[in-house]
Amino acid sequence: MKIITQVGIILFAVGLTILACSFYRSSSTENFNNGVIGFLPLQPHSWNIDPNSTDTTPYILAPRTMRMDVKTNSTIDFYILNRDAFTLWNSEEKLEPDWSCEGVNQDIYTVQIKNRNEYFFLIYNPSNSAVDFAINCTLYDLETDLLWASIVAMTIGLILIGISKIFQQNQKKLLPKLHSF
Amino acid sequence: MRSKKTFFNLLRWEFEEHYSLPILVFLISSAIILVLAQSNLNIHPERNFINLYNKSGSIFFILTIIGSAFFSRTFAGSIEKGKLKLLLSYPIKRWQLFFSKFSAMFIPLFIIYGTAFSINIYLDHLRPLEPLFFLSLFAFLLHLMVVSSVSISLSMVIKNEILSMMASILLIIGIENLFSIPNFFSTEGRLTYQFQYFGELSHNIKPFGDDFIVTSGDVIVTFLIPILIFSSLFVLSFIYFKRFMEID
Repeated sequence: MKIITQVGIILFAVGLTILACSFYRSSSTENFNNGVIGFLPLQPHSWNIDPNSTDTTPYILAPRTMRMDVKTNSTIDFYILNRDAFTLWNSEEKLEPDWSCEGVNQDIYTVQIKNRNEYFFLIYNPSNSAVDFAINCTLYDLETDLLWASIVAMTIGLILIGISKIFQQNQKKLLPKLHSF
Repeated sequence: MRSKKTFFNLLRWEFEEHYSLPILVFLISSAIILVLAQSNLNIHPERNFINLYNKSGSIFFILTIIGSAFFSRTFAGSIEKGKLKLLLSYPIKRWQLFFSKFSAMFIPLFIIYGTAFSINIYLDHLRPLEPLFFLSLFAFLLHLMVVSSVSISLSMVIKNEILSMMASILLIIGIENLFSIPNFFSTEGRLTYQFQYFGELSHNIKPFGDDFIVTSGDVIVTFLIPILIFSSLFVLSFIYFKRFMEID
């Protein structure tokens, strides 16, 4: 029983530490850019990533809220694809994005990233002229995977502590009966 | 068979003595905080292995402090408090005591910090068998070996828990900060050589630029230095403890 209590306390402490760390991590934001206005414009009816390209760089994004500030001098179609969806698009040119937005000119979007993964920012120029675009992304808020990990660890820890306490109480109740017997 | 049983009993006793619950919880929590409190600087998959290098510096620093504290406590502390004298009044051999003390401190510390560091595989979305993750783990192992050997040898000489702890912390942190990175004398300096070499070998990327050229000979030296420090200090401490140390 002592070991179960100890494991429970350790798990609870681990959960509490992860929770504290996830709040600490939420205080800092991650910023990155995709595209620059006035530099390498996107040609008419073309993608920012060549299909079948192998040297494309994705972003590793944490499951946080992402604020995207999109700026263009015309309109663009904008898709966010995970690794599997990107492979599908690369091989079959079939689009199954996690998030999409078509005919964007200038706007601010908020996206909830579902899980920690590699994401590709796919942009298409549907117009007949070259387009400059810039997307400034900011990741903020709690990382949901760490939050869930902390909740699960604390819950299991508390359950283990509770089970060991119940066993200890039952043993205490049994002892006087055994003595009287 | 009996000496093996005595050794494992000593090992368990040392573990229970030094890793009681609040201390164990503190160690695990501190290791998790060390990993999670640092942000991921590289968010591109081809360069995310460099995050391991950026995050290892603080682990080396904390391992120096915690390692020095634990090894000084178990060796110098037991001499100072008379526990060693009491233990040696039982039919226990000195080598059993020495190795049980060393193993009971070394193995849990490495497991706790190594396991906490492995959270980075998930956080940085690294490959499960990322070679540079194992290189970082090996660097922790070598650093802990150096810290343990310095602390044990100072404990043998000083025989005072606080003084030997302070002396080993100041000595190791002093050497770590004496030279500019990269160098062969500090753990982080040596890791810079190793990351540059193995980064190019496994990822075809030189993390610290093309101007910094590292040869295989440099990398062998970076591994040999801590191994030589550990083996010489550890063997000397063991011989002194087994043959010459008077416990009154």
